[in-house]
Amino acid sequence: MLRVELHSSILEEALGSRLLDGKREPCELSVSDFDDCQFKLVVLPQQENILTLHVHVPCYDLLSANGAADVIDDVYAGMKTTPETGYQVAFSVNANEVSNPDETLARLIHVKRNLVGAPLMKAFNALKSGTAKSFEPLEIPWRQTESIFVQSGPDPANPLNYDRITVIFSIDFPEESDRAYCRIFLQQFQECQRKVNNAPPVVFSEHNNAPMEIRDKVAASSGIVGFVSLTIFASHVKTPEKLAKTVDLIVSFRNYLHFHIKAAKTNLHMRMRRKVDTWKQILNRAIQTSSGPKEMKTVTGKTFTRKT
Amino acid sequence: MQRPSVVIDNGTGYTKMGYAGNCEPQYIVPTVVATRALKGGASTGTDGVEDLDFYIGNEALAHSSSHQINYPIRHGLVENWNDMERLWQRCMFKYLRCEPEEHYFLLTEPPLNTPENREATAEIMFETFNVPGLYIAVQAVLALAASWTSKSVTERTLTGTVIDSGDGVTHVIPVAEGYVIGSCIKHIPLAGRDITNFVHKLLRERGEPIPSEDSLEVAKRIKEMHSYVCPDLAKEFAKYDQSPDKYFRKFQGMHKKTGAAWTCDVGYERFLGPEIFFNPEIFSSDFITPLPDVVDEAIVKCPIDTRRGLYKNIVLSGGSTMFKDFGRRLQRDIKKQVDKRLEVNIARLGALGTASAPQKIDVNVISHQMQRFAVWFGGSMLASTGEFFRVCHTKQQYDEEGPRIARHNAVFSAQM
Repeated sequence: MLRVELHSSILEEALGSRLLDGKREPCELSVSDFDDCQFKLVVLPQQENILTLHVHVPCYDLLSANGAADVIDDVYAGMKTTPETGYQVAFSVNANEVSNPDETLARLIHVKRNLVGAPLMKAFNALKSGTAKSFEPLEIPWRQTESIFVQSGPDPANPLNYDRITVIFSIDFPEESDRAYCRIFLQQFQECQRKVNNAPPVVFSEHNNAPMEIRDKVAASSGIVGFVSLTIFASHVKTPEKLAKTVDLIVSFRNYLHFHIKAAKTNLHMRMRRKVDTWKQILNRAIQTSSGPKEMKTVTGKTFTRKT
Repeated sequence: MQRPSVVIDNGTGYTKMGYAGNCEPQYIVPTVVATRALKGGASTGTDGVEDLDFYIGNEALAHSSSHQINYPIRHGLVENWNDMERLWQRCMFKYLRCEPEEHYFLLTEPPLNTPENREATAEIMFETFNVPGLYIAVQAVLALAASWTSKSVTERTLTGTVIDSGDGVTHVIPVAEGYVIGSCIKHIPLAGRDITNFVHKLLRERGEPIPSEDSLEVAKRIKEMHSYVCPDLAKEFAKYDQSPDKYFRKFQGMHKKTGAAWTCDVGYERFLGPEIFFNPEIFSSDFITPLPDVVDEAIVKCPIDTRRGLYKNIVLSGGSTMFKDFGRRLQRDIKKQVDKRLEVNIARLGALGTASAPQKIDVNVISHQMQRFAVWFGGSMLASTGEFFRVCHTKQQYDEEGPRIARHNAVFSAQM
C-alpha cells in the first residue's frame, strides 16, 4: 500500500449496498475520516430508501466561500438538506429514484475530496483559463498549527506572466520523534522529485525559513516542522483527468505523509526488536557455567565427580 | 465535536474493528498478516518499500502465493508483536481511516493475559501511534456489558458467568464485579468448527448428493441456517418420524464448476449439531462432560458469596451460541442440577433444613441480539460513555510513568 485511499471504504460499503444492491435496512452509522472529518449515515426505519449523509469538515465556512458552495450546487444538485447539529452539510438521496447509482455513489463517497478540493479546483481552473493573476491568495487554517496556502505566482523571468499556482503546506506533528521522521521524509521527498520527469517542483523549507510567498503571513518561529511548497503549472492541469488527479493527490498529501511516518516507525521498531534479540543471544553465550568439579551419574546409577 | 473512540477486538480468528457508538463492527477481517518472505539469509536488500510491502485480512490471504502468511495471535494471546504492530497500523490507516493521535482506543484482551503483554501493547500504542488514551478491556467483561441490551436484564451488573463460544474453543468465565475469577475458568474443546464437522459427517453418512469439494462449506451453511436446540432428543426424533414433511428442510446449491443445481435433505442434523454441547458423547469420545455440567462446576468452584450472582446472570457470547433455544435449554439443564443439589442439602439437614429452608437459587441464561459480536458491541457501548475517558490511560500518564501503567486497567463502575 503506497498511497492512502481517497475515500472511506466504510461509507462505500454502507452506501453501495443500498444504492447498488438494493439493501433496505435502517441504520445510523457514524465514522471518522482523516483531518478531523466526520460522517454520519442515517437511514430511518419506515423510509429505508432515503439515505442521508451528514458531513463535518473543518473550516467549512472558508471552504464554502472559496468554491465548496459551487461544488455543492453543481455536483450535489438537489441533494442538499439540513444537517444535524454538529455537522455542517448534509446530502440526501432516494435510493429508489437514483438514475445512475454508480455515479451517485462515487459522488457521495468523495464528498470530502470534493469539498476540500474545491478551492484548489478554483485556483487550477483560473490557471487553465489564464486568469491566475486575479486569483486571491488563500489561507486555510486546516489544523490548529497547520495551514494550507494557495496562491498564484509569476514566472521569475517574466513578472507579468502568472503561470503557476503554489500550494504551501505548513506541516507539524505533536510528537518529537514524528517531527524528526517528518523532516527526513520531506527532505528525501524533495530529492526524489528531481528524478521524476514533469513532476511539480517540491521545496521543503525549515520552520525558520518560510517560503518567500508567505513569509509575511507566518510568525517567524512558530515551532512547526516546516513548509512544503508544491508548484503546479498549467501542464499539470491541462486535461480534466490530470486536473482531477492533481487535486486528489494534493488533498491527500498530509495523510500520505502521516501514513508513511507511521509505517517507517513500525519498520524501525521491527528492526530494533530484531537487533535486541541478537544482542540477547550474544549475552546468553557469555554466561559462564561454573567451572568447579561436577557431580555426574553413570548409566548404572553410580555417582562420580568429574574433576576439571 | 467529540471524535468517536476506536474499538478494536483482536481475536484469534477474526479482528473486529469500528468506531464506538455504532451497533456493529465496521470491519471483520481475519487476523492474518502476509509479509514479504525472507529468502534464506536474515537480511534482505533494501528497496525503500519494505515498510509498506505487507497485507492484512482477506487481502493477506489473497496474496498467499507471493507472501508469507502469519497469524500473530495464538489462543487469544499475541505471539508476534512485529506483525501485530503492522496489523494495527493497517487497521487505522486503511480500514478505519483515523489519525491515531486524535482518537481514544479501546483494545481487548483474553482473560489471564499477562501484564507483560499489556505493557507491550501500551508501548506500541503510545510510542508508535501516539494515541491520546488507551484502555485494555477483558473480553468477558465486555460480553457482560453487551448483555445489558437484553430486555430481560433489569439491573446493570458486572457480575455473571460468560459462555464464550467461537469457532475453536468454548470458555466458561465467571466474572465478579468486573473482575475475572481466573482460577475458575473452564474450557471446552467443542465449538463451532466441531458442530460443522459433525453436521458434515451426518450428511456424508446419509449419502446426500453434495459435491465433495463444497461439502464442508455446505455443512457450515446448513448449520447456520437451519440448526436449533431441541428440548428432548427422543421426542424430537419421534416428531420428525411422525411428520417428516413438516420438519425436514431442503437445501439447494449450485455446483461450482459445472453450474448444475443440486438439492439435499436436511433432517436430524438440524438439532443433532448443537446437541454436542449437551451430549458430547455423540460426537467425541475424549470429552464427555455436557456444557451445563461444566458451567455448574465452574460456578461451584467460585467463592461462595458470588455464586448466586453468577447463577443469576449467565451471558452468552460468540457465534456458536446463536442457535435457537440454546439459552432456554441451558437454563433448564443448569436449573435442574442446582435444584437437585439444593434438595439433597435440605434432606441432609433433616429437621433443621425444613425449619429454615435455604432460598431457591435463581438461574438465568441471557440471550440477546448482539451475541455474535458481543465483545465488540460491549466495547462500543462502554467506549461511548463518559466513564470510559475517566478510566483510560492517557499519553501524559504514559510519558510520566512508562508502560507499566497499562498493567492494571481500572474496572468500569457498573452504574452507568
